[in-house]
Amino acid sequence: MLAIQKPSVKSPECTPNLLPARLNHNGPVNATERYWSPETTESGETTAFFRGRKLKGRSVKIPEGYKGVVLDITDKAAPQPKKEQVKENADDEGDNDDDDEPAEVNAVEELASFEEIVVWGHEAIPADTEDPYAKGVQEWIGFAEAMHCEDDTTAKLQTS
Amino acid sequence: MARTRSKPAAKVSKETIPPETIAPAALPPSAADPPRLFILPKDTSPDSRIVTLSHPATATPTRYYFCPEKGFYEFTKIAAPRSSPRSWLLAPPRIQKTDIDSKSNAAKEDTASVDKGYITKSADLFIATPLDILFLLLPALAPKSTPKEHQKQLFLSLDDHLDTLAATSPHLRQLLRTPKLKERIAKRMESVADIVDAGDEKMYRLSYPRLVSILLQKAERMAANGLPASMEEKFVRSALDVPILDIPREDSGISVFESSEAVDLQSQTTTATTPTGDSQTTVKSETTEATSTTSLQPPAISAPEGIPHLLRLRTALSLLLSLVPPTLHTAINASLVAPTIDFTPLTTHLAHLSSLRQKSAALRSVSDNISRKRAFDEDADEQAEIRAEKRRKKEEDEKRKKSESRGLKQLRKADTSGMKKLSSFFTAKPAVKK
Repeated sequence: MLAIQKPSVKSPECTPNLLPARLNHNGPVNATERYWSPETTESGETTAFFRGRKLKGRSVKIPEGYKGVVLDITDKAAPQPKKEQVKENADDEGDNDDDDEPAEVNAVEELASFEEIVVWGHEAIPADTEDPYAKGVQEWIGFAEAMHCEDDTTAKLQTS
Repeated sequence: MARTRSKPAAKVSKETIPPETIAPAALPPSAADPPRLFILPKDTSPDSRIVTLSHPATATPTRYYFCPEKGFYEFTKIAAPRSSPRSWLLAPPRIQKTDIDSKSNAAKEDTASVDKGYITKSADLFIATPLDILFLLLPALAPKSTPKEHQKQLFLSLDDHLDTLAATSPHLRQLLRTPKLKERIAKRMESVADIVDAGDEKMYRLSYPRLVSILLQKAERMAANGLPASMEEKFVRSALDVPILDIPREDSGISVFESSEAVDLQSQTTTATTPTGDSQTTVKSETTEATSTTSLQPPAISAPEGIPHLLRLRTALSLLLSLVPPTLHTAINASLVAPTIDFTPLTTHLAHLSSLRQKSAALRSVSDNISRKRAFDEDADEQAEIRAEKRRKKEEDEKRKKSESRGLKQLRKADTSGMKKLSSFFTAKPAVKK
């Protein structure tokens, strides 16, 4: 089980850029303005140059009611509000008590947050409908909400 | 001897130098467990957890996001397809860059490394989408095995149902400590189950009609909002697409015959025209003009009234069923018949379309054989022989070129027409001078 730890101060904002290439590295880099400086023209086109290649970007906003976060899953145990102490040792728990032990809560650090992602394409703006990222962010959340909203109407009908 | 000084050696020595000279401050080694990107609901309670529960349909452990106030969320992972490799570059925000610059110097010290830029190799993005608790409950309510299906399911108390659930997903037990969740579960349970009051406790048993009506309601809502564009394209549009013919070649008699026949067939079904490419639209208009039986309505799906809606419903239902334990599928499918919902017009229409498609495919393969410039099947071995011959010649040529000395190669470039042959100097003295 994982618990997300909100940083004490507001987590820094960042812009995740989806580069159209695979970089075989995980780790911090110095993305200073010299190496990465996307520009937006008046016509709303976003371009950037990455190692001499021209990239065009499409920014995808995170839908209303959602936020983007960068999470780092750690092995550290989360400082818990010690709810476990209040074990309602009801009769039905009995032999399953040992199941509770392994479910320790690990901390997940929130390193940064973001409001939009930018999907980049070589020389051309990635297509809106084909790109799985734009599609997933824009379409899927709304659709899932329609799929899973719990109908209060039916629930009420049946309780009465 | 000459070959020892050939090009590759020189190149290698040239290339090895630059990296050493430019080599930047060494990059720290790749992190083993890089941070990941998530899209999570806003304003969740601080008690939210990422938990591992068994998936309702497949029973494999799956991660869910749980917020005591908002309920469960399911993670959808978006990964880059293999065909287009991608990576994340987490860059500092670009808009406020100017005003942050001064501030950031101070801030840099205490914030995490992500601040200055971070690269992760995997381009995964995890999106948390809402999940109805109902689906998590179904495995407990569903019959355990098929033989039991004939028997009447027993009424069980809520706690018993939850115990069966918690047996497979231990994290759930911890979550159940929050009283709010239990309340919600009970409420949700009531909507799909028959209830019997046994003394002070309520006993629940799955009620198929209720489950089906809930699923249908969900499907209706999904269809009413309209499926996402890409899904609409894939499942509805292409499924209802009346086969569009190949570009008829004027010279082949068969394709002309094909198009006219197919247009006749199309006119029965009031034409679906979803142009997929320019060439096809033009062809379409040609054929329609020729027969003048059909009307051209470019992007609209034209199928008999109600068919698209039924297909959308069915697509939505099949999506929903992917979250329902497989033991329930037959019962649900069995009850999706006439009185509740009637899919028969859809199935007949789809069958009709598939027969059309088969016909056109059969015809196309005939016309293809004729019109293809190169026949692949017949005299394939003959062609292979020719190709082998060519390859052999080429190889021989190459070998000869390679075995030539460098001197000869260079000499070939020079204009030797005015020069004497070297061998001419070594002939016997001409007899004339005597």
